Amino acid sequence: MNTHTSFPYDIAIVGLGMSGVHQMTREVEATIRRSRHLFVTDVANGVIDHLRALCPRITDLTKHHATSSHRVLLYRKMASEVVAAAMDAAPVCFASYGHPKMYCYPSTLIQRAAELLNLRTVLLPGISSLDTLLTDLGIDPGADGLQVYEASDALIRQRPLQADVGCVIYQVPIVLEADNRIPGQHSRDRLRRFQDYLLKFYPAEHVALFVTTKTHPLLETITQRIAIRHLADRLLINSTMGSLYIPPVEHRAVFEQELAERMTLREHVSKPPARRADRPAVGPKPPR
Amino acid sequence: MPPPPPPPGPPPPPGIGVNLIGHHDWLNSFGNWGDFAIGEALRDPTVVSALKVVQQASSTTERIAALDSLMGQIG
Repeated sequence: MNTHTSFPYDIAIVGLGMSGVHQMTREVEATIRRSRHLFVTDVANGVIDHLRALCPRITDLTKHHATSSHRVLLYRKMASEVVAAAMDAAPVCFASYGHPKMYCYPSTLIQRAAELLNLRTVLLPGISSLDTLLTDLGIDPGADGLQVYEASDALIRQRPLQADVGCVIYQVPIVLEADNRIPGQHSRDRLRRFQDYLLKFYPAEHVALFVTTKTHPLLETITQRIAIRHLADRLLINSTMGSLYIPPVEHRAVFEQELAERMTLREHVSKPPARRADRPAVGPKPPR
Repeated sequence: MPPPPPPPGPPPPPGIGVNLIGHHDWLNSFGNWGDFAIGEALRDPTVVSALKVVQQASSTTERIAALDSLMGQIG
Protein backbone atom coordinates (compact mmCIF):
# COMPACT_ATOMS: atom_id res chain seq x y z
CA MET A 1 0.00 0.00 0.00
CA ASN A 2 1.41 3.36 -1.01
CA THR A 3 -0.07 5.89 1.41
CA HIS A 4 1.31 9.41 1.62
CA THR A 5 2.33 10.01 5.22
CA SER A 6 2.66 13.79 4.88
CA PHE A 7 -1.09 14.12 4.44
CA PRO A 8 -3.58 13.49 7.23
CA TYR A 9 -5.78 11.41 4.96
CA ASP A 10 -5.61 8.90 2.16
CA ILE A 11 -9.02 9.63 0.69
CA ALA A 12 -10.71 13.02 0.72
CA ILE A 13 -14.45 12.88 0.16
CA VAL A 14 -15.65 16.31 -0.90
CA GLY A 15 -18.67 18.13 -2.29
CA LEU A 16 -18.49 20.46 -5.28
CA GLY A 17 -21.72 22.37 -4.71
CA MET A 18 -24.73 22.53 -6.97
CA SER A 19 -23.89 25.23 -9.50
CA GLY A 20 -20.98 24.06 -11.59
CA VAL A 21 -17.72 25.03 -10.00
CA HIS A 22 -18.97 28.38 -8.73
CA GLN A 23 -19.96 27.00 -5.36
CA MET A 24 -16.76 25.05 -4.76
CA THR A 25 -15.22 26.04 -1.46
CA ARG A 26 -11.60 27.05 -1.12
CA GLU A 27 -11.12 24.16 1.27
CA VAL A 28 -12.29 21.70 -1.37
CA GLU A 29 -10.23 23.32 -4.11
CA ALA A 30 -7.07 23.15 -2.00
CA THR A 31 -7.76 19.51 -1.22
CA ILE A 32 -8.23 18.65 -4.88
CA ARG A 33 -4.95 20.39 -5.72
CA ARG A 34 -3.16 18.17 -3.20
CA SER A 35 -4.64 14.96 -4.55
CA ARG A 36 -2.80 12.66 -6.92
CA HIS A 37 -5.97 11.36 -8.50
CA LEU A 38 -9.41 12.90 -8.56
CA PHE A 39 -12.61 10.93 -9.10
CA VAL A 40 -15.58 13.04 -10.07
CA THR A 41 -19.29 12.45 -10.30
CA ASP A 42 -20.72 15.70 -11.57
CA VAL A 43 -22.28 16.21 -14.98
CA ALA A 44 -22.65 20.00 -14.81
CA ASN A 45 -21.19 21.92 -17.73
CA GLY A 46 -17.54 22.84 -17.41
CA VAL A 47 -16.85 21.06 -14.14
CA ILE A 48 -14.49 18.41 -15.49
CA ASP A 49 -12.64 20.96 -17.64
CA HIS A 50 -12.13 23.20 -14.64
CA LEU A 51 -10.96 20.36 -12.42
CA ARG A 52 -8.36 19.28 -14.99
CA ALA A 53 -6.52 22.47 -14.15
CA LEU A 54 -6.40 21.51 -10.47
CA CYS A 55 -5.42 17.85 -10.52
CA PRO A 56 -3.10 16.00 -12.90
CA ARG A 57 -5.24 12.88 -13.09
CA ILE A 58 -9.01 12.80 -13.30
CA THR A 59 -11.48 9.98 -13.70
CA ASP A 60 -15.04 10.79 -14.63
CA LEU A 61 -17.14 8.31 -12.68
CA THR A 62 -20.32 9.22 -14.51
CA LYS A 63 -19.18 6.79 -17.19
CA HIS A 64 -20.54 4.12 -14.84
CA HIS A 65 -24.03 5.51 -15.23
CA ALA A 66 -25.32 2.69 -17.41
CA THR A 67 -29.07 2.52 -17.48
CA SER A 68 -31.01 -0.53 -16.34
CA SER A 69 -28.50 -1.33 -13.64
CA HIS A 70 -29.34 -1.26 -9.97
CA ARG A 71 -27.94 1.97 -8.61
CA VAL A 72 -26.15 0.24 -5.75
CA LEU A 73 -24.06 -1.75 -8.26
CA LEU A 74 -22.95 1.48 -9.91
CA TYR A 75 -22.09 3.00 -6.55
CA ARG A 76 -20.01 -0.04 -5.63
CA LYS A 77 -18.01 0.30 -8.84
CA MET A 78 -17.36 3.96 -8.12
CA ALA A 79 -16.28 3.31 -4.54
CA SER A 80 -14.07 0.39 -5.58
CA GLU A 81 -12.13 2.52 -8.05
CA VAL A 82 -11.53 5.24 -5.48
CA VAL A 83 -10.37 2.90 -2.74
CA ALA A 84 -8.15 0.93 -5.12
CA ALA A 85 -6.48 4.16 -6.23
CA ALA A 86 -5.90 5.17 -2.62
CA MET A 87 -4.21 1.83 -1.96
CA ASP A 88 -1.97 2.39 -5.00
CA ALA A 89 -1.06 6.06 -4.55
CA ALA A 90 -2.68 8.19 -1.87
CA PRO A 91 -3.95 10.82 -1.39
CA VAL A 92 -6.87 10.63 -3.75
CA CYS A 93 -10.09 12.58 -3.81
CA PHE A 94 -13.68 11.61 -4.47
CA ALA A 95 -15.75 14.64 -5.45
CA SER A 96 -19.49 14.53 -5.88
CA TYR A 97 -21.82 17.32 -6.89
CA GLY A 98 -23.61 18.92 -3.99
CA HIS A 99 -22.69 17.60 -0.56
CA PRO A 100 -20.82 14.32 -0.19
CA LYS A 101 -23.13 13.08 2.57
CA MET A 102 -26.38 14.23 1.08
CA TYR A 103 -27.85 11.21 -0.70
CA CYS A 104 -24.44 10.14 -1.91
CA TYR A 105 -24.05 6.44 -1.22
CA PRO A 106 -20.56 6.03 -2.76
CA SER A 107 -19.25 8.24 0.06
CA THR A 108 -20.64 5.79 2.58
CA LEU A 109 -19.15 2.79 0.79
CA ILE A 110 -15.76 4.47 0.56
CA GLN A 111 -15.83 5.26 4.26
CA ARG A 112 -16.75 1.72 5.21
CA ALA A 113 -14.12 0.07 3.02
CA ALA A 114 -11.50 2.58 4.16
CA GLU A 115 -12.17 1.75 7.79
CA LEU A 116 -11.74 -1.94 7.11
CA LEU A 117 -8.48 -1.31 5.23
CA ASN A 118 -7.06 1.21 7.72
CA LEU A 119 -7.16 4.01 5.17
CA ARG A 120 -7.70 7.49 6.55
CA THR A 121 -10.58 9.54 5.19
CA VAL A 122 -11.63 13.14 5.53
CA LEU A 123 -15.05 14.55 4.68
CA LEU A 124 -15.40 18.10 3.41
CA PRO A 125 -18.81 19.67 2.89
CA GLY A 126 -20.16 21.21 -0.27
CA ILE A 127 -23.21 23.36 -0.82
CA SER A 128 -26.03 20.86 -0.83
CA SER A 129 -29.35 20.66 -2.59
CA LEU A 130 -30.94 21.52 0.74
CA ASP A 131 -28.88 24.71 0.95
CA THR A 132 -29.90 25.81 -2.53
CA LEU A 133 -33.51 24.84 -1.90
CA LEU A 134 -33.70 27.23 1.05
CA THR A 135 -32.35 30.09 -1.03
CA ASP A 136 -34.26 29.19 -4.20
CA LEU A 137 -37.52 29.35 -2.25
CA GLY A 138 -36.49 31.94 0.31
CA ILE A 139 -37.61 29.83 3.23
CA ASP A 140 -36.14 29.71 6.71
CA PRO A 141 -36.86 26.54 8.70
CA GLY A 142 -36.66 28.57 11.90
CA ALA A 143 -40.32 29.50 11.55
CA ASP A 144 -42.13 26.19 11.10
CA GLY A 145 -39.34 23.60 11.23
CA LEU A 146 -38.33 21.22 8.49
CA GLN A 147 -38.63 17.50 7.84
CA VAL A 148 -36.48 15.87 5.17
CA TYR A 149 -37.07 12.46 3.64
CA GLU A 150 -36.14 10.37 0.64
CA ALA A 151 -39.24 9.50 -1.36
CA SER A 152 -38.89 5.72 -1.50
CA ASP A 153 -37.86 5.54 2.14
CA ALA A 154 -40.83 7.66 3.22
CA LEU A 155 -43.23 5.53 1.21
CA ILE A 156 -41.79 2.16 2.21
CA ARG A 157 -41.72 3.03 5.89
CA GLN A 158 -44.94 5.02 5.73
CA ARG A 159 -43.22 7.77 7.64
CA PRO A 160 -45.71 10.04 9.35
CA LEU A 161 -45.55 13.56 7.91
CA GLN A 162 -46.37 16.61 10.01
CA ALA A 163 -48.58 18.87 7.93
CA ASP A 164 -47.70 21.89 10.07
CA VAL A 165 -43.98 21.50 9.38
CA GLY A 166 -42.26 22.27 6.09
CA CYS A 167 -41.37 19.07 4.24
CA VAL A 168 -38.57 18.36 1.76
CA ILE A 169 -38.73 15.11 -0.16
CA TYR A 170 -35.90 14.05 -2.43
CA GLN A 171 -35.88 11.76 -5.43
CA VAL A 172 -39.63 11.84 -6.01
CA PRO A 173 -39.34 11.31 -9.81
CA ILE A 174 -37.53 8.01 -9.24
CA VAL A 175 -39.63 6.84 -6.31
CA LEU A 176 -39.52 3.03 -5.96
CA GLU A 177 -37.10 2.75 -8.88
CA ALA A 178 -34.01 0.75 -7.97
CA ASP A 179 -32.42 0.87 -11.40
CA ASN A 180 -30.63 3.76 -13.00
CA ARG A 181 -33.29 4.83 -15.46
CA ILE A 182 -33.41 6.70 -18.72
CA PRO A 183 -34.27 10.35 -17.91
CA GLY A 184 -37.91 11.13 -18.54
CA GLN A 185 -39.16 7.59 -18.23
CA HIS A 186 -41.22 7.46 -15.10
CA SER A 187 -43.83 5.09 -13.83
CA ARG A 188 -47.29 6.55 -13.36
CA ASP A 189 -48.20 3.79 -10.89
CA ARG A 190 -45.22 4.48 -8.66
CA LEU A 191 -45.82 8.20 -8.73
CA ARG A 192 -49.51 7.65 -8.03
CA ARG A 193 -48.67 5.51 -5.00
CA PHE A 194 -46.48 8.30 -3.72
CA GLN A 195 -49.19 10.87 -4.36
CA ASP A 196 -51.70 8.72 -2.46
CA TYR A 197 -49.25 8.53 0.42
CA LEU A 198 -48.98 12.32 0.56
CA LEU A 199 -52.77 12.66 0.43
CA LYS A 200 -52.96 10.88 3.78
CA PHE A 201 -51.43 13.98 5.32
CA TYR A 202 -52.22 16.90 3.03
CA PRO A 203 -55.36 18.32 1.40
CA ALA A 204 -55.65 17.44 -2.28
CA GLU A 205 -55.48 21.10 -3.30
CA HIS A 206 -52.46 21.91 -1.16
CA VAL A 207 -49.74 23.26 -3.44
CA ALA A 208 -46.25 21.79 -3.33
CA LEU A 209 -43.19 23.23 -5.05
CA PHE A 210 -41.05 21.08 -7.30
CA VAL A 211 -37.68 22.77 -7.57
CA THR A 212 -34.97 22.03 -10.12
CA THR A 213 -32.07 24.10 -8.95
CA LYS A 214 -29.69 25.63 -11.44
CA THR A 215 -26.52 23.70 -12.18
CA HIS A 216 -24.75 26.59 -13.87
CA PRO A 217 -24.64 30.32 -13.01
CA LEU A 218 -26.15 31.19 -16.40
CA LEU A 219 -29.15 28.95 -15.86
CA GLU A 220 -32.20 29.68 -13.78
CA THR A 221 -33.78 27.57 -11.11
CA ILE A 222 -37.13 26.17 -12.22
CA THR A 223 -39.92 26.05 -9.65
CA GLN A 224 -43.21 24.36 -10.48
CA ARG A 225 -46.28 24.81 -8.30
CA ILE A 226 -48.23 21.56 -8.24
CA ALA A 227 -51.37 20.70 -6.28
CA ILE A 228 -50.72 17.39 -4.58
CA ARG A 229 -53.65 15.73 -6.35
CA HIS A 230 -51.88 16.47 -9.66
CA LEU A 231 -48.40 15.46 -8.54
CA ALA A 232 -48.20 12.09 -10.33
CA ASP A 233 -49.47 13.44 -13.64
CA ARG A 234 -47.21 16.48 -13.55
CA LEU A 235 -44.05 14.58 -12.63
CA LEU A 236 -44.78 11.94 -15.23
CA ILE A 237 -44.02 14.44 -17.98
CA ASN A 238 -41.16 16.01 -16.08
CA SER A 239 -37.85 14.81 -17.42
CA THR A 240 -35.59 16.39 -14.83
CA MET A 241 -34.64 15.65 -11.29
CA GLY A 242 -35.63 18.01 -8.56
CA SER A 243 -36.67 18.34 -4.97
CA LEU A 244 -40.19 18.58 -3.64
CA TYR A 245 -40.99 21.12 -0.95
CA ILE A 246 -44.38 20.95 0.71
CA PRO A 247 -45.14 24.09 2.69
CA PRO A 248 -46.92 23.68 6.01
CA VAL A 249 -50.69 23.65 5.74
CA GLU A 250 -50.92 25.85 8.82
CA HIS A 251 -48.73 27.18 11.60
CA ARG A 252 -48.70 25.01 14.67
CA ALA A 253 -50.67 26.55 17.51
CA VAL A 254 -48.88 27.64 20.69
CA PHE A 255 -49.35 25.05 23.41
CA GLU A 256 -47.42 26.66 26.28
CA GLN A 257 -48.86 30.16 26.33
CA GLU A 258 -46.89 31.30 29.37
CA LEU A 259 -43.60 30.17 27.88
CA ALA A 260 -44.47 31.90 24.61
CA GLU A 261 -45.08 35.17 26.44
CA ARG A 262 -41.67 34.93 28.05
CA MET A 263 -40.15 34.88 24.58
CA THR A 264 -42.18 37.84 23.32
CA LEU A 265 -40.33 41.06 22.55
CA ARG A 266 -41.14 43.71 25.19
CA GLU A 267 -41.27 47.31 24.06
CA HIS A 268 -39.16 48.39 27.05
CA VAL A 269 -36.76 50.20 24.71
CA SER A 270 -39.27 53.01 24.29
CA LYS A 271 -38.30 54.41 27.69
CA PRO A 272 -34.96 56.27 27.38
CA PRO A 273 -32.28 55.23 29.86
CA ALA A 274 -31.41 57.68 32.61
CA ARG A 275 -28.35 59.89 32.00
CA ARG A 276 -26.70 62.92 33.58
CA ALA A 277 -28.29 66.23 32.64
CA ASP A 278 -24.99 67.66 31.35
CA ARG A 279 -24.15 64.67 29.15
CA PRO A 280 -25.07 64.79 25.45
CA ALA A 281 -27.24 62.02 24.11
CA VAL A 282 -25.45 59.46 21.95
CA GLY A 283 -26.82 57.11 19.38
CA PRO A 284 -29.56 57.64 16.82
CA LYS A 285 -31.52 60.87 17.14
CA PRO A 286 -35.32 60.73 17.37
CA PRO A 287 -37.08 61.81 14.16
CA ARG A 288 -37.97 65.52 13.97
CA MET B 1 -12.12 9.51 28.04
CA PRO B 2 -11.22 5.80 28.22
CA PRO B 3 -11.60 3.80 25.02
CA PRO B 4 -14.85 1.88 24.64
CA PRO B 5 -14.75 -1.77 25.68
CA PRO B 6 -14.19 -4.24 22.85
CA PRO B 7 -17.29 -5.88 21.45
CA PRO B 8 -18.09 -9.40 22.58
CA GLY B 9 -16.87 -12.28 20.50
CA PRO B 10 -13.50 -13.41 19.19
CA PRO B 11 -10.91 -10.74 18.35
CA PRO B 12 -10.51 -9.70 14.73
CA PRO B 13 -7.55 -10.86 12.64
CA PRO B 14 -4.39 -8.91 13.47
CA GLY B 15 -3.59 -5.90 11.38
CA ILE B 16 -7.07 -5.21 10.12
CA GLY B 17 -8.95 -2.25 11.53
CA VAL B 18 -7.82 -2.95 15.07
CA ASN B 19 -7.91 0.73 16.02
CA LEU B 20 -11.52 0.97 14.99
CA ILE B 21 -13.04 -1.94 16.85
CA GLY B 22 -16.13 -0.85 18.70
CA HIS B 23 -16.70 2.16 16.52
CA HIS B 24 -20.16 2.29 15.06
CA ASP B 25 -21.55 4.61 12.51
CA TRP B 26 -25.12 5.16 11.56
CA LEU B 27 -25.03 5.11 7.83
CA ASN B 28 -28.08 4.09 5.94
CA SER B 29 -28.16 3.15 2.31
CA PHE B 30 -30.53 2.10 -0.39
CA GLY B 31 -29.49 -1.50 -0.18
CA ASN B 32 -28.64 -1.88 3.46
CA TRP B 33 -31.02 -0.08 5.74
CA GLY B 34 -29.31 -1.24 8.89
CA ASP B 35 -26.36 0.16 10.74
CA PHE B 36 -22.81 -0.68 9.80
CA ALA B 37 -20.57 -1.70 12.66
CA ILE B 38 -16.98 -2.35 11.81
CA GLY B 39 -16.54 -4.66 14.78
CA GLU B 40 -19.32 -6.86 13.54
CA ALA B 41 -18.04 -6.66 9.97
CA LEU B 42 -14.63 -7.90 11.06
CA ARG B 43 -16.18 -10.88 12.78
CA ASP B 44 -17.89 -11.87 9.55
CA PRO B 45 -15.69 -14.50 7.86
CA THR B 46 -17.02 -13.48 4.45
CA VAL B 47 -15.85 -9.90 4.99
CA VAL B 48 -12.47 -11.03 6.35
CA SER B 49 -12.02 -13.30 3.34
CA ALA B 50 -12.95 -10.50 0.93
CA LEU B 51 -10.50 -8.18 2.71
CA LYS B 52 -7.66 -10.65 2.26
CA VAL B 53 -8.36 -10.87 -1.46
CA VAL B 54 -8.22 -7.07 -1.67
CA GLN B 55 -4.94 -6.90 0.21
CA GLN B 56 -3.34 -9.69 -1.80
CA ALA B 57 -4.38 -8.34 -5.21
CA SER B 58 -1.36 -7.92 -7.46
CA SER B 59 -2.75 -5.32 -9.84
CA THR B 60 -5.12 -2.38 -9.71
CA THR B 61 -7.61 -4.21 -11.92
CA GLU B 62 -7.58 -7.18 -9.58
CA ARG B 63 -7.93 -4.90 -6.60
CA ILE B 64 -10.92 -3.08 -8.06
CA ALA B 65 -12.64 -6.40 -8.71
CA ALA B 66 -11.86 -7.57 -5.19
CA LEU B 67 -13.10 -4.30 -3.71
CA ASP B 68 -16.30 -4.59 -5.71
CA SER B 69 -16.86 -7.94 -4.05
CA LEU B 70 -16.04 -6.46 -0.63
CA MET B 71 -18.49 -3.61 -1.21
CA GLY B 72 -21.16 -6.21 -1.74
CA GLN B 73 -20.47 -7.52 1.76
CA ILE B 74 -20.52 -4.17 3.52
CA GLY B 75 -23.07 -2.10 1.65
